[in-house]
Amino acid sequence: MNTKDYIESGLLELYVYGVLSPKEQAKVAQDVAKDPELQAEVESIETILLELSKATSPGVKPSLKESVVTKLRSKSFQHKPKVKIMTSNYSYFGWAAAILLLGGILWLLKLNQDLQNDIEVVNSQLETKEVQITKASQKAETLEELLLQMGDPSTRKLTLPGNKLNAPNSSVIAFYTDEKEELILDISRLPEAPEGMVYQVWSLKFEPLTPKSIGLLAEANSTENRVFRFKNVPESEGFGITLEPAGGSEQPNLKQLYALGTI
Amino acid sequence: MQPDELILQLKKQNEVAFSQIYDMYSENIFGIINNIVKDVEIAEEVLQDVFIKVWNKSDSYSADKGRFFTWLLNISRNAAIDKVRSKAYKNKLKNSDFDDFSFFIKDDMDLDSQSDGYGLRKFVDKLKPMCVKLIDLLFFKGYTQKEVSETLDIPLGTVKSRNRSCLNSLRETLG
Repeated sequence: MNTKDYIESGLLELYVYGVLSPKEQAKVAQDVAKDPELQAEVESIETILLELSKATSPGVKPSLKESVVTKLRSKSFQHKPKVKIMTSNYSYFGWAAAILLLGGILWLLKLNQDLQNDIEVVNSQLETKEVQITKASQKAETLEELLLQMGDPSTRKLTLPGNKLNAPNSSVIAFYTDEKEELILDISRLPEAPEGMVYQVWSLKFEPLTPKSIGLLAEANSTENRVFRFKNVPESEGFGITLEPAGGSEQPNLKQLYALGTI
Repeated sequence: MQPDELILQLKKQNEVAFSQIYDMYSENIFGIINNIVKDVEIAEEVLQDVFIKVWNKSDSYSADKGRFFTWLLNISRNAAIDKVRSKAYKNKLKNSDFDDFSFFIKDDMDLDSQSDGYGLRKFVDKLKPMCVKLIDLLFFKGYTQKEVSETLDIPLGTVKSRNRSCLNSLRETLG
């Protein structure tokens, strides 16, 4: 396009208005810079636009300039210390390092948490073991006591044969120490008491037959419900074991007699 | 001519240069702003904002990209349009009763030779109604060719040339 056509196209007017796209705007600026004729045309267009726009002004109050300068000074004072945000590669390294560090911290926290859990598990296992040991040593103590008791020269060993009707092939071993009023019963050969029933031990005196409850086998001290130990046993001539409803009875139910023996 | 030396000094934050540039262009800018906001008080606010931007953003002007006056025009129109869109403005001016810059021509009976309206009259008298609209939308309001074509319902290809002939009619008699 020659200079004349360029001028006639009307592009320069729009260029001075500033309504072309940024790309076109830059292109025209380049063309104008190279061509003095275009340059002169642009100046001429600008002159008429300056006149036109000035003519539409209602008149700027002179005091306005003072106000602008005042604002500008206070603004420029705030404006001066420009903070430049640096985005160099180093900042990316910084971010990467920060993320790695954060990841590391999280991993350590997780590790710590896991270890805490392990410690808790081990502690509770230890407690269980301690309880087991205590139980075992208590049991050993009891057994030792029983053994000593059985070995006492004043202790008599009795066999309470099983009742032919209810427990034909069983028997109960009793160790009776009348001086200490103690009785030890080994009922390991008796059948298990059914649900809701309980074995009751009786002290017997004959002529006349007088049964006196010593206790229930469910409540008495025992080692795994096999060997029972009773204290404060009254003077007896024999012992009997009956099956009674849970809680025991006042008088023995002789139909449910399981073992009976005399001294 | 473009005040290149003043612009250079303005970029160096020279207050004297700023003051001179203010004196050179404040009326033109005020005319542009007022044509968009249509309220002298609001136009005064915007004018101050525009010159504060000119001071703070003088770095962003580059002669390679265009005329300094064009740069001022863009800042002014944008600031004025932002104002018009603001809530405060909408509350103040519910409706306007004029469309283009010819509104500012005062009634003939009130005119004396000093009035601004008189100055404008000599322009508007030279222009056909379509020219007033074209120059108003393109120059004062900063519409693109496409927007003008749609608003005035004229072919896109003729916007450029029509605008030139309109402006020429002013230049021939006044320029």
